[in-house]
Amino acid sequence: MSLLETSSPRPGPLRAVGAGRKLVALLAIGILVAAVPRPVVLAALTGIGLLALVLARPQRRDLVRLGAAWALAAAVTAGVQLVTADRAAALGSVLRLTALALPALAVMASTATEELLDTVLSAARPLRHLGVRPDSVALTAALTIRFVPELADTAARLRDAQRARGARPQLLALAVPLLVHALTTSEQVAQAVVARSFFDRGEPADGPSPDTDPALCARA
Amino acid sequence: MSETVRARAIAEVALMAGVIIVLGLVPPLYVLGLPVPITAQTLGVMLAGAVLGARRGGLAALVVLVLCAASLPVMVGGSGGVGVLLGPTGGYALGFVPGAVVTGLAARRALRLPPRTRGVGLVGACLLGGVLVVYALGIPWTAAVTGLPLRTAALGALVFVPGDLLKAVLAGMAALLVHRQVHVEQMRELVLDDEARPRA
Repeated sequence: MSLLETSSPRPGPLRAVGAGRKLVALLAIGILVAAVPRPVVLAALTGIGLLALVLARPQRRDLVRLGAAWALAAAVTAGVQLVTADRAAALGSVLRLTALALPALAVMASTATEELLDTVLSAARPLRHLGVRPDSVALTAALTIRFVPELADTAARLRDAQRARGARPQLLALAVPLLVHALTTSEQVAQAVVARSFFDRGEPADGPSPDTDPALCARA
Repeated sequence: MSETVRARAIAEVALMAGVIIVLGLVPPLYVLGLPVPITAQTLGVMLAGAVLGARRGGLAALVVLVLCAASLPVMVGGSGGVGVLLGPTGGYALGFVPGAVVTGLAARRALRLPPRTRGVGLVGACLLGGVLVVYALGIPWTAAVTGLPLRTAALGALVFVPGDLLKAVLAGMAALLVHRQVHVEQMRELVLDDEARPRA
């Protein structure tokens, strides 16, 4: 299992637009929805979202998964509004959720995960002047992605061990050994990072190689 | 910051972010034999603060949010994406970071208490950061996104309060047990009769 094996957007008009622009546009829509929740604005944004979604050509799998989440949220909110307020309020709430969900779905369906990750991480670059080193940010994200499968595996083994002793999987008995494992592993990873002089190499090369990438070497 | 310290900070933050993600991915678990299974992602957030402290715990929560914004399936049940952050429950997710920071600040004080009251202090830290701060962000966010009145959104959130209180108690207990076994430098000084050995 890898966290990165998750998206394979199909080519389309929205696919060609940069991830940064799409994220900024999405943020702007979010602010508009929260700041000016008039029916006209919401309807217009829903229209734009629908158009974006058509241009994004989402896969059916994404459409179903996110559609179900949206339907649940819309049903709950509309139900609450119908009981506590009136039909207009319920309609307004559903329209708000739709105006947000459609463009969000369009962005997610038309952008590759790696591209989104690059964009989000490069947003940290201007923070360099505040002492945030871009290579540290990238290393942290890479290490997290690398160790999630490993930690999930450990969690599964801990649960199996509990079942073997005839106990139902307990939260406390999972969390404590998992954390102790994570903290001990983090010490080994830190030593691996230092041993490879990660911070002494100046400007990072084009990409991590299996010889120098601590994320790949730490468990070797 | 020396190279070793920086490397250790990065590794701790990365691994703790991994723990938060994994606790959200594992199937629901049972708590103390109760028949209600609960998911554990917010537990991970409280633990991040209570174990690693305000700075590194908050950064670990931030890493999870950054990966979520990049559409990786890191939130409860394998969901992820900007849609999750902008959706009705997005405020609770964004509350992870201040939640972990406040938990960490309070937990550091709690660890200086005498051994008897230390556990109670840690549970209090988790309640303050992991429940109070997270809800303080989550409820207004739900109200803003859905257009529900603030009071209705708060009433709706009440459903989740018992489970979250339980998780705060568990997180406090777990943090106490972890601090007994592993020494985390930024949280407390090593004392002579300490059972927790340094990791290096």
